[in-house]
Amino acid sequence: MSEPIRRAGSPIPPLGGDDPLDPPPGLLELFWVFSKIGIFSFGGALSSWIHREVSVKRRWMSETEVLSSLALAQIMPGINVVNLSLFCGQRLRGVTGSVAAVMGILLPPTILVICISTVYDLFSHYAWVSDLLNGIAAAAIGMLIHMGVKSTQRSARSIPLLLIVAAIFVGVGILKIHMVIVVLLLGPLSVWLSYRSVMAEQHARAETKS
Amino acid sequence: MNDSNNLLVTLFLLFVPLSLLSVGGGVSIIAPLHQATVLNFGWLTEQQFVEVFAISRAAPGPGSMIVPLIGWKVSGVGGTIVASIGMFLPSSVLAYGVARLWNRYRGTNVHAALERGLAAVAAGLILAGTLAIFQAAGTGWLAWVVAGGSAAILYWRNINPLWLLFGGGILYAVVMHFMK
Repeated sequence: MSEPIRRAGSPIPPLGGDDPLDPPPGLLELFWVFSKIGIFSFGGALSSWIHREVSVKRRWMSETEVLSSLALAQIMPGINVVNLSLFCGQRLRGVTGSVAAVMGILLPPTILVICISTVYDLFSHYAWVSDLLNGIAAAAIGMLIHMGVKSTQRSARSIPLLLIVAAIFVGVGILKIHMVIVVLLLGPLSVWLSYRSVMAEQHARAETKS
Repeated sequence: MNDSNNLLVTLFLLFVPLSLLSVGGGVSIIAPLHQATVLNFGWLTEQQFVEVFAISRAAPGPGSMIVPLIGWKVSGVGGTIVASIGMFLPSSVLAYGVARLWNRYRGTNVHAALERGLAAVAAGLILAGTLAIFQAAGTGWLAWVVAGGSAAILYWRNINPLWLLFGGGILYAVVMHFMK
């Protein structure tokens, strides 16, 4: 599970996509996995659940695929998690796959939220109920921290890319600049840096072959 | 057209523009939803809206679960379905088009570069989102301990996060109980 620590200047690790992937799941399995994420994701952190279920526990998609889909899902209109589920479903099983994933992430939690709202009145006057929920939310934030660290390790392949990650964190998280503006400014730079490294790797591969 | 059909149409028309304008995890739709359901249409009282918000935050699932819940409160099963379709269908159709385009170019150098470049963007956004949620939650040292502890355990042990969620919730409730 653990990756070797990589120092600046050491060779670039293989692309996430280079690890062998599992064959894509059936529709029912896809629906079931996204339902499970929808039902058990107390306190939020759904993107880390999706990342975990789709590319860590199972090898349906590489981590780079999931992370880039997440970035796309975040800048598209609509709810991030719904968009991300749709992207995963589309990637794995086309139209029907995207319907199965979106229905999975939405339908069971919808039924559950109505049930919870119905029993809420019975327990709302106990203080421990809200304390319990705060504790669950804090642990869910811990899941997000973990995913942030992991995805930085995975995606910041060079010092310039690490600086991109840091700049986006500062711009959106601390300076509170609108996400779309920050992504439109730094996204192309990040892609350009990545394009150069993709070409350099290809060149290096061609050299060793010849 | 009778009144309940009218209500469903109004509900639907409320969510369609929100679907295409919202960007993010669902927090951006809270202010316009409050304006429409409480101030303009009077479907919910202020107190009901706060409760609906709190329940949808506490329940599992996407942060947008406030949408079907408002549909439910306003008009039962029909309202739930209409609100959900209005909110999730338009943006999903758009996202589907982008996803298809995205996967069509898989394997090219440009796609590989886009994938890597966007993965770095996502990492920055995840870190920023984590900070934003922590600030919004506005909780004390105990929340930091639970969040930091959970992150550390996940980093070194590949355990099911459900244990952390329930453990964190129980620890928080017990400590708060003895501190009061």
